[in-house]
Amino acid sequence: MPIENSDFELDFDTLVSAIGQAPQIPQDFRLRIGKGSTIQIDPVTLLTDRPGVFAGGDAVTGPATVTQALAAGRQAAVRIDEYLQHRYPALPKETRAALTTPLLPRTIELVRRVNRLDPPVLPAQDRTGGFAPVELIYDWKTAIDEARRCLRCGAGAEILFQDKCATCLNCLRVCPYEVPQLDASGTLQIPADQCLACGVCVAECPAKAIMLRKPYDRRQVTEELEHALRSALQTSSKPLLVGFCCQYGLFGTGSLAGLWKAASASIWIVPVLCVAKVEEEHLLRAFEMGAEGVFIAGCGAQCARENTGQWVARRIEKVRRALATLGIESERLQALPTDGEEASTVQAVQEFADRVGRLCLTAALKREVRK
Amino acid sequence: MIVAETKPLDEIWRSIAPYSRVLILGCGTCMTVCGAGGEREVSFLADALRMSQARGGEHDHSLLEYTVKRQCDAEFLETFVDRSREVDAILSLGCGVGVQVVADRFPDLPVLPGNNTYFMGASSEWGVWDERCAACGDCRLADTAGVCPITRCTKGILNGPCAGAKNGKCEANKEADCAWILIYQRLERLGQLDKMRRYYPPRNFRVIPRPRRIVNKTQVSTGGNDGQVSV
Amino acid sequence: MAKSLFDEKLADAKFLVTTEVGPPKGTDISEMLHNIDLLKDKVDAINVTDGQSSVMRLASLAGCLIVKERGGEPILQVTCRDRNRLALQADLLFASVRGIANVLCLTGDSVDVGDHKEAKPVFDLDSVQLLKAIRIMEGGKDLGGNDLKGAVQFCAGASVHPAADFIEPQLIKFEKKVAAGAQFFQTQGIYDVGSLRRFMQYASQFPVKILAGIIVLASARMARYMNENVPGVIVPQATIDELATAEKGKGLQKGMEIAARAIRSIKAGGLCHGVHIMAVGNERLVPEILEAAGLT
Repeated sequence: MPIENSDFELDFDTLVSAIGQAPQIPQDFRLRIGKGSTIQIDPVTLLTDRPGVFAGGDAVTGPATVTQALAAGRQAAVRIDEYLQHRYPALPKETRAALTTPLLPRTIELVRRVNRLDPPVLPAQDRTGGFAPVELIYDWKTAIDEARRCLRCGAGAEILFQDKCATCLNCLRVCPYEVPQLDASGTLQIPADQCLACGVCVAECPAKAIMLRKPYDRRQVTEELEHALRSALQTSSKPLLVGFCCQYGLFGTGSLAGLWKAASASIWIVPVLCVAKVEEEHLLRAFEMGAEGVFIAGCGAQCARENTGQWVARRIEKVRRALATLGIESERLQALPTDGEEASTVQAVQEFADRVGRLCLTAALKREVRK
Repeated sequence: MIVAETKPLDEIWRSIAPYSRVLILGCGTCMTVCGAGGEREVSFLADALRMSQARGGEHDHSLLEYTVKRQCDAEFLETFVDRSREVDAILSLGCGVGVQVVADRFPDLPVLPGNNTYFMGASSEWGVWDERCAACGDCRLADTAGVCPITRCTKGILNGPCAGAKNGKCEANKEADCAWILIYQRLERLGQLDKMRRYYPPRNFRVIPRPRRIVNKTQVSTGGNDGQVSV
Repeated sequence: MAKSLFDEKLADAKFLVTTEVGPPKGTDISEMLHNIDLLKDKVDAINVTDGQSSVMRLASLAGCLIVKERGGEPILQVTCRDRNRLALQADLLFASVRGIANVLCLTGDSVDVGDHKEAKPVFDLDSVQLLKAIRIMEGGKDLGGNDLKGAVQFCAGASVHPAADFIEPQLIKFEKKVAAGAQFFQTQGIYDVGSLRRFMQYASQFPVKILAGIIVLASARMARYMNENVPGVIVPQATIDELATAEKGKGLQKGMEIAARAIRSIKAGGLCHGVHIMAVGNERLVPEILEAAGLT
């Protein structure tokens, strides 16, 4: 099909034909040539067998991509610099140690299988009719569920304070993925590239020696709580509820908007990477700072991590015992069941808020009666 | 701190005599601190046993040496499983707890104690250890100004003192202070002598009957792999 | 209503005299029988010691039965060193059934000073708790809170150490014993009457009877030995020196003199309610001492 204005004439001094089929090297240039007329080079230094002559790209590999040629050019620049400065050539990138090691088979075994949710595709008969994309987009819920499959494990735990570590072995014993390891000298190591960032060990370490690496979660939950409660208590006359929510659960469902609208209580959400990371002292501290009710909402059945329910249950049980000795009703601390549906989540929170509201009323009445 | 002393050499020698290859296993925690079973004690003992063997004209025992961070948690014992296959017995220089955990882990090997474990105590000066706690499970140090009448009074009485003290020292051990005179002096200093004037009823000797166990993980019956919590 | 003959005598204003016999280390009770017969009518009551100085001997209960059989008034010494609360209560029931109604409640000497140093020391109760236990049993219950079938009644006493070098803790203990139900006290050996006087100044406020303990020493060496090895015995240097002045072979004579003198001055001074004579193997000489002290 002819293209308009595509025939024209220009003047040049030199025209280099770079069609990339085969290098054209003069015989007397004395470079070693290999299969397909490609130039032979030392794989580390990128030097040909002629001193000071470097080669890369299609001339070396034969027909290949522009990207590879660009990369070769960049690498050659480094090598030329080393050559001119008489520096020892650094090993190429590929031979340096990998940033992360593959996951151990045992760890893989212990990770919960959650199948990939493929996006819907255009039925075959509809594809031939036009150029519309074959792969369609997810609906909101499926998108969240698929995103949930990412464990955000890059946040990996580490023993930040080895001098605090008493080698009590709690982290080793509670890890659902058997990640912490005792080395030969009896020191505990948590290999960050194996860790799946559930945060159970962070919350269970009796010496508070373990932290999750990701800056987002390193932010102290306590600071967040204190800030939240201080401002909320100042501004609201409604009873204050604090919710510890995993980012996939309450957040992921888009329920928040629903919550703010419907609530009969003032609700502050503290986001966490995983509810298994919520520590007992956070729960108690919320009450200490004036919360009338505290709830924990995870991602429920969609949870990609192991045993989070068990950890939440344990922590709630322990805090409830303490609350009981303080005369605070156990019902004020709840784990809310979530199934990822916005409506039911909002409803669960609303019901909880109502329950707490009734408890507050009863308590207020009792105080009046006592007076 | 758990405090122990290494058994006399001849007793250890007799107990390992039937076994030609023995692993001497040290412990890097309490036994190191009290000098009864750390890495140094292990090598010293191994040398002494080898010398003892040589002087006796025998040469058919071989001794391996290894020290773990702690013997009382089985995970630490995994580091020498391969070595355990090369020996006929393990001589543990752990405290009584360590010896038993090692024995549980290696039921096909005789595990022999190299130490006599005495008590839980503290070091007042280098090389000196005093018993301080009897693990009675019913701590009453608030009533005795921080002096335990069970470990520091030879009779362990709760309404002390008895009439046996002379020069402030115990009738049974003239180097030990009478605990109740000490309690009196401390309470007087704190202005809390009324605590000593109180009647203390007979002790509960079976706070947790033996064999003793505590479980401190919160037991929950629900909450499983599906992430759901029913609390 | 008096619980026993001795209890009656406690109520009198009379100057009381008690003494003690030690059971044999074995079954040959001939010497003990002889001593009991010798002394039963000369004193208000006879203590039978219970594993004194942690030396294994025939049980005090057996000796008390014999005293009673022979017509004397026994005081059962009970130490807490050898028996747990089950056995102690069982023994008290035994005593009660056989008409032995006077009990001296002692914590007991440490196992280490005796002749079975590897034995397990019991000390399930101490003397104060034992006194309390007696009162609980008199109320019809045992220490486990269970009802008793049949009543018990005891005239209970304890010991005290007026010459202890740290006296204040001893006084606190004394008060606890009084509060727990002790009716009479037999003291550790008194040599310095002054220390007794000081103690009585404090103790006379309590409605209890105090009998001063008098130990008959046989020599300066014996005195020093007891100082070193016997709990509760502190012989002052002055007494040791006086014993040392005795001629060879006359040490015991001197000891008896010292004892009689002490008894006389205690009686004359009305310092306390009586004396408890501990002859430590020389029981046959007690009548002579009583005579020398003007108590016959």
